[in-house]
Amino acid sequence: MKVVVLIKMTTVIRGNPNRAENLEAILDPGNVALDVNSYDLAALEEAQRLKESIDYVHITAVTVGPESAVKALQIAHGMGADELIWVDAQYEGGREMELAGLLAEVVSKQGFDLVLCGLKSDDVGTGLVGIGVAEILGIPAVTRSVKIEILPDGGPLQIHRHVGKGNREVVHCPLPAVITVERSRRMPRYPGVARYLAARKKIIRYAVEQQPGTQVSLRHVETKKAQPRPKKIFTPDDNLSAADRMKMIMTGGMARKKKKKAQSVVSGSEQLYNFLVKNGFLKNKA
Amino acid sequence: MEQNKLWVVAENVDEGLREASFEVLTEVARLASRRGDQIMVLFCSAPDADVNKIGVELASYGADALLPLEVVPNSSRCVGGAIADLAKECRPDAIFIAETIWGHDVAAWVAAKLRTTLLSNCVELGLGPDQELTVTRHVYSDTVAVKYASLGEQTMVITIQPGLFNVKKAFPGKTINLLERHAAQAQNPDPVQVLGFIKADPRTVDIVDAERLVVGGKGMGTAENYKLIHEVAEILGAAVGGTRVARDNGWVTLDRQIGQTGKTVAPELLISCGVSGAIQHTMGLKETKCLVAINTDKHAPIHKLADLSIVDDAPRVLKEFIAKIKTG
Repeated sequence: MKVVVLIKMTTVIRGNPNRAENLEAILDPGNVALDVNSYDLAALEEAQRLKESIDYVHITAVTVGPESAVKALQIAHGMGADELIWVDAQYEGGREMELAGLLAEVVSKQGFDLVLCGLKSDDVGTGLVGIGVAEILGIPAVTRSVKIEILPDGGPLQIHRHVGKGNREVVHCPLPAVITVERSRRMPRYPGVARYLAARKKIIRYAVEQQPGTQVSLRHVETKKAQPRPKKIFTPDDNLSAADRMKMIMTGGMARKKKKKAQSVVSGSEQLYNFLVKNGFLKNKA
Repeated sequence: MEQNKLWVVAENVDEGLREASFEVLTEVARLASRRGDQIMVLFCSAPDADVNKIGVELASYGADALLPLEVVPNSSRCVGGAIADLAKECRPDAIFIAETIWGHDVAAWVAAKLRTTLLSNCVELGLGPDQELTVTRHVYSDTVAVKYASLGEQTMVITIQPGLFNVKKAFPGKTINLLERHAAQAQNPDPVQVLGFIKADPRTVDIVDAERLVVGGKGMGTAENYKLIHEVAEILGAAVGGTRVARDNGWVTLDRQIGQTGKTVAPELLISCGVSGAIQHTMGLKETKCLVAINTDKHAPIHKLADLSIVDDAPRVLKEFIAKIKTG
């Protein structure tokens, strides 16, 4: 089975932008660090586990980016990838679908049964490229997978997807397919040093004639420090007196909750039981 | 449909529409009233759904038209495809969806089919100097905000983070234009088959996702007493958490520690036993809906946050509570 894993390097900001005087200096390409996308590492780990579970799995790691992107391939090789492809091209934000088109071209040239990639990236995190590749190739896609199993007799893949609150959905998906991987308890393995160092000789470079590309219908207005999340605006309770309302507004609605005072007559466990029953967390047995 | 420039895709849950969809609608209605735009709400309705009732409710939030969609099969890919087909025809300015698991998938399929970009997880909507739509999204782990403005040539696909905007019935008595049910049969049926659903097991679920938590601190005293926490958790179907002290003593593992050096949780119910409530711990449980505190110290800061304060020895209260449940 040929598995292609799409990986990328993400930008990691050094320091805290909220405390920085000059945001541009922090975002300057010379000052930022690069790291492999954590979701893509999870995808590589899934690929490795597939390799361990059945006999023949060939893993190809593909990355798109400038020279610095090669490190992602070294790590992929360290984790066990067999073939490394570096597409020497650069796509800025807003052109994810062009990138998806390029990746689709590369993987179909390479030949594949399964494409794995991270759910989204750590830096920009649009979460579009995986589904974009599936759409362009016209193959099914499953998102947020936390567990991939191969059913015997060449059947479909059985995938557990994360659907929030720790719940999972089990789906069957025929090959070929694109699967985007969610970070899970399965920690990505550490890359082996020998393979990491040997990777540079194995990298196959594709140079791409960068097309001018379609015009992105977006204009960048500004980049600024992120404000603390705008929480829902607090409005005080109408029933309170004017003074109480003022107090609540001044404290931002953080006024202490009205407590049910512990009554000395009723024991602690009795109070706990009654409270849980009253609020519907426990069924009353009596 | 052509005059409706802003589309909102609402998400169904069992009892109706998701709260996050109303947040999106309220916020979009605020923009639309300034720009004089019409809003159309799209939602995937079951054939027997009471569309009129939903329509009246949506109108009071500011919707101008309602288009019930009937997509077979009802997967995010096919729904996204149906919406993208409609969008190619009617060319709305923007399509808004709440960033939930379903919402993100549908938005990504719509964007992929329209060959446009996806502005996911937006935190702010606004209007520029020429009344053009602007959106702000956070990048680099929510530390930097980037603002974009629409050039108005392509349809923008935007998902909005839930929990940021107020839900407000700003247009009481408004009427809605109920459009005819749009049925779409996917040409290529989605080959992905959903087989089942596995409910999270409270014993193994990540505490970040847990709906109920029982948390123990230094006041539990010994590892022996900490077993009471596990017993109570079993009774309530809750997950077990701990403070830094509990973790240092080896009562819980690191992945169950709550607070500054652990995780931030948002359960419906949290029972805090023998926890004083130091800020390093309580900053991890700010989102808790209902907090019960059991601590011998009546001046402990945890009591100030609690919905129910019990000033008593936590192991004894738990022991009695377990005995009470067991005897019925």
